[in-house]
Amino acid sequence: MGTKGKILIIEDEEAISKALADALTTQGFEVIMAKNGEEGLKTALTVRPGLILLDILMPKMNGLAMMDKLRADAWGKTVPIIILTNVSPDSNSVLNSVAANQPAFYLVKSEVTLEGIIEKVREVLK
Amino acid sequence: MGRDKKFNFFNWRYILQIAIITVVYYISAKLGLILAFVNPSATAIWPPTGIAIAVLLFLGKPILPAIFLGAFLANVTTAGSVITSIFIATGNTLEGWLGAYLIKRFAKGKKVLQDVDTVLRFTFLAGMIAPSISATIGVLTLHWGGLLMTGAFGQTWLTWWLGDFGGALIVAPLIINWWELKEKLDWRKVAEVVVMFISIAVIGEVIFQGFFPFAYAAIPVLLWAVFRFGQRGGSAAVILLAAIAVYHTLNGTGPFVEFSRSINSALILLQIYLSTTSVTMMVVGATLFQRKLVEEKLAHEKAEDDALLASIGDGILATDREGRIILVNQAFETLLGWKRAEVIGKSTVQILVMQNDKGAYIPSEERPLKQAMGTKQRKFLTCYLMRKDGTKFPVMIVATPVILDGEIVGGIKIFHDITKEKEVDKAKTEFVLLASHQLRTPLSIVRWYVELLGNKKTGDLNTKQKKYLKEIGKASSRMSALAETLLMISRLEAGGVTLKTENIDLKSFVGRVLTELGPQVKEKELLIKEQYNQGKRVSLVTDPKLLNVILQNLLSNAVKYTKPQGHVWVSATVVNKELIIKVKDDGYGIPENEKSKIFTKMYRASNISEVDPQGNGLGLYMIKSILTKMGGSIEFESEENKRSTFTVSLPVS
Repeated sequence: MGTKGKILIIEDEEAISKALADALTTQGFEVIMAKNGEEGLKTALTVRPGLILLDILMPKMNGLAMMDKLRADAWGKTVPIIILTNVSPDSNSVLNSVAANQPAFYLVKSEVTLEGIIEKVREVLK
Repeated sequence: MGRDKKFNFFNWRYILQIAIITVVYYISAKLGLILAFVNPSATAIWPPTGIAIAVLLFLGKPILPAIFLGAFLANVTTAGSVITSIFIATGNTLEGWLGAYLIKRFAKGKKVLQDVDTVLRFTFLAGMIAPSISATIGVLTLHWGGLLMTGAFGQTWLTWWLGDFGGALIVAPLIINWWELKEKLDWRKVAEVVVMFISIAVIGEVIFQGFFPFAYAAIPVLLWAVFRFGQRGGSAAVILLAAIAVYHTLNGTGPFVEFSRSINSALILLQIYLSTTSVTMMVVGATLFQRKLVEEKLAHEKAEDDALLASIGDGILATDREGRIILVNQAFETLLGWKRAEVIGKSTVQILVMQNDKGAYIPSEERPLKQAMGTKQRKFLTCYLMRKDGTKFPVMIVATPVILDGEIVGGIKIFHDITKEKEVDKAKTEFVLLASHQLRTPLSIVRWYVELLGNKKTGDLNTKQKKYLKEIGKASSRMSALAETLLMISRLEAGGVTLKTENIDLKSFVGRVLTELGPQVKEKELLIKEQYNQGKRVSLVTDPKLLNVILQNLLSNAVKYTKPQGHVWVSATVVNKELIIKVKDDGYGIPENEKSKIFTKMYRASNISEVDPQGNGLGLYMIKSILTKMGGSIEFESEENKRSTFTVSLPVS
């Protein structure tokens, strides 16, 4: 099937990240994982993946803060991001960050299936 | 006397009292009798009447013997026999007793001089009624004793009566006023008293020596005494003037001598003058006393109001009709950092800087006091208020116009600091946020692994395993739905739901919800009919997420609570910027007596809890809460086992 670009999953919940990784690798994507925003930022800047799946509530550095830092980088400014979280997008901090950093999608985990996520990933990487 | 248990005749104090009063009465009576011109026993000036009434008023019946004894001794040593003296003394004693009794009974007793009404009663009862007893008994005694000149009955009675009248009205007030000494005089007051008495003495001399025989010239100084020193000053001043007046009138000078045929008639005129003056001063004194009482009461009430205002925890501000501050309480000072003196007289617009939660200034026409004054109604505003030092705090303002006779005369603002409430709100919202995350994550994990297990690429499952997996999937979906519902409700209740509007296409929106329900519809073989605005495609702006919750719940209820092969009608139309959604079914309906409860949280109608034991009773409650939030409403009509129609109306743009 060949590599369609590396996908960086930044997620502190192991069961979640493993499920995502399994679903994506089965579909032929190459996956890298990071456990929090800090680690995720470092990995993103060194590996430069084609897409980032980003959780919001994480230890050390949360997803929103990480996104701010990433967008400040020359390369990171344009890398596509899909936010995949269980935080509803209705607080001001979330809405402001989304408006400023323009992720490709904002998905609420409890509302999407793995199949649906893969569909969105394909759409972004097309 | 014997009935009074506390009374003891051999009490030294009592014996001393009797002795002193006997002596005082005797001396004043002797002084009075010096002035007896018509008859040795009938005098134009009789101070003992005043003494008797006042003393009996304060000491009561036990002191009667002293009065009798004093009167008897004075009479028996003046003229007549022991017998006539006994009669006359009895008359004097009865007079005193009656005067005191009438005052106690009808004129507030010891407080007789504190009120204009009782002063006038005193004048009548003690000054006019009581003396007629003494005069009548006395003159009759003189008559029977042969001590009265023929034809002098009337004139003697009148002289007697007037003498007692004057004594009662001039002397009694002095004793009543001075019975209890409680004043503390500072040197300035003492100086004033001295100057005042000298003035009275001088003016008395001037008038009654005849230099300026105008009797009422004394009034101003007497008023001085009353105004500055009350009833006490007044009665003392009157006594001083009376002493001077009597002395000079007896010596043949002063205003009353000139027009009189005799000293006696001059004394009678003087007596009338002094009594009138005394009563006048008492009336003035009583009026002043009442005014002082009212002033004290008002001052006390004001102090109470001030204390009340000071102890209210919310800031209070009052303005005149132009919005200038006329009053603030302590809480206002603490809350805003302004001192009372800095804000009084200033406009509220100058002092109160109001901002909304985004930091924008609130325009003057939206300020609550302006609105309250404009509409004559109470207005509320939640905003941020700036303290004197420029810091801000959240506050709830209640502005009320003060209306008097239909006109606005001012306004009142109350400031309730809501910093704590805001913090609690924030904590609640954060809790819901975290709780939603914590609830959703394990549910997501279960759903996704069910999905992975079902994926052919993971490996094949046997039929039984597939069946089990389907049950797990169904249960986890149900749990997810419940969790979402509960989260939505707690967000609605905590006020954490903000409307996010989008443009949607109505027909396809409803269509999507119906598609989701497809499996259940198919299973029950229901017939669904849809109806929309005719003609062109209708798009509208509303919150799609919330509209979805409403539609999803209404339609799934209709599907769930309709028997197989039943009908469900759904219509969605927009009329005049209002979206009307009707969902009708021919299902189980709602029992008549439960109709009032169906929007209650967790309430389930009795006829459907068996049909669908999985329902949670939250759907309609949630719809109602959402509609309240969106400014819409929901109504229904239903007949058990026949039909239900739910109608939602919602403002859209």
